[in-house]
Amino acid sequence: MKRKVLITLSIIFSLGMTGLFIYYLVKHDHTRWQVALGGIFVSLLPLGLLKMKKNPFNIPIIIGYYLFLFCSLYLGSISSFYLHIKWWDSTLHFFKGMFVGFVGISLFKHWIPKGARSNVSTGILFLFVLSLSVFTSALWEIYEFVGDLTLTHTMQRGGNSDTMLDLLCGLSGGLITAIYSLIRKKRLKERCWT
Amino acid sequence: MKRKLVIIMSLLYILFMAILAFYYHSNGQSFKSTVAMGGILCGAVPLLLALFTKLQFNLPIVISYLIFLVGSQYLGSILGWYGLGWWDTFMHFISGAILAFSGIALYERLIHRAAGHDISPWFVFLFTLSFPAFGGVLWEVYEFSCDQFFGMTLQGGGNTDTMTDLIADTLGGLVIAIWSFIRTKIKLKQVRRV
Repeated sequence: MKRKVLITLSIIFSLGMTGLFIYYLVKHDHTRWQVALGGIFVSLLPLGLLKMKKNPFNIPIIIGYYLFLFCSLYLGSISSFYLHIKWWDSTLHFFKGMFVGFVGISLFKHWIPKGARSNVSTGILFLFVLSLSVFTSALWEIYEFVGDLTLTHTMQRGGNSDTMLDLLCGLSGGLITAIYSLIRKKRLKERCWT
Repeated sequence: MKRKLVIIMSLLYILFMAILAFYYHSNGQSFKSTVAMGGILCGAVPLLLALFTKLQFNLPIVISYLIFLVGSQYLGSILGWYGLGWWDTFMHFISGAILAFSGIALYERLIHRAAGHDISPWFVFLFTLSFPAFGGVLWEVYEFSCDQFFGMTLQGGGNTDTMTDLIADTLGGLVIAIWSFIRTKIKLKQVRRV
């Protein structure tokens, strides 16, 4: 089931992006065909998960990933939501913060086997989910910064307050997921006791 | 024994800062005396923890915390090494490494020894890598809010400054994360052999 969802979504997205890539290449739209080309690559990327012995990510996370690609690559960059809608960028950063938090929960479960989890304090879960999410926000900003230094000159044109706003949105998204993971773990524990 | 050492070391730092505060105050150098007073407060943190809590101290972390205070407050602000340009970046690198060590200490405190052998080294790696980046982002958020709410110029260097800080934090954390990954792998090998 999970395999099927992943493969289907990945094929649909990479085909769509290939279509857009050819369309804008013919129209000589420089920025848009580049985005579409990157889009083909990131749509195929999750197929690498199939190579793993056990894919740690559940269906909502896989769907969330493609939803994010759609919102940022297609709506944001190609349909110019980033330019025309002021809150689009911050909202996506917020969503990404939450999303990476959920990825963190999956990784936590993947790397700490069930039997060992009762010996792991919830504090570690909370800190891991929160810091992983914030870490990826920082990585993203570093990517934009290095990109601006070398290839493009527009990604961080909003200056320092823009960077900080992105980081703050990512942080609050991650915080929400981290708090959610705490509450859920507490409930699970209570259920075990009764 | 550890407790006594912590008390002695932080008392020494407080004393040093108090002398500096008086000295600069009588000279009329208000900026330097304010920094020295801030130094008294920061130096008092381990002292208060040692006197009023039953916390088990991790000596390397307390020592590196105090060395960091000397580097940033005395050398950086009072002797003006922050003016050198590379000192700020270097201190961020060091703080990334210190935060990574604190992450490892937290990890060891919050996870039972029994669970230690079942947890993947990748979890240790990602946790020690993300934690300093999280701390670095929190620091930039603090600087940003001081600038926004109190009209200070902590992020006067603009976006480049913020990004250099974040990159230095992440690299400092990365070095220690790689070290902890290798260490965990070796430990696991030894356990499995027995």
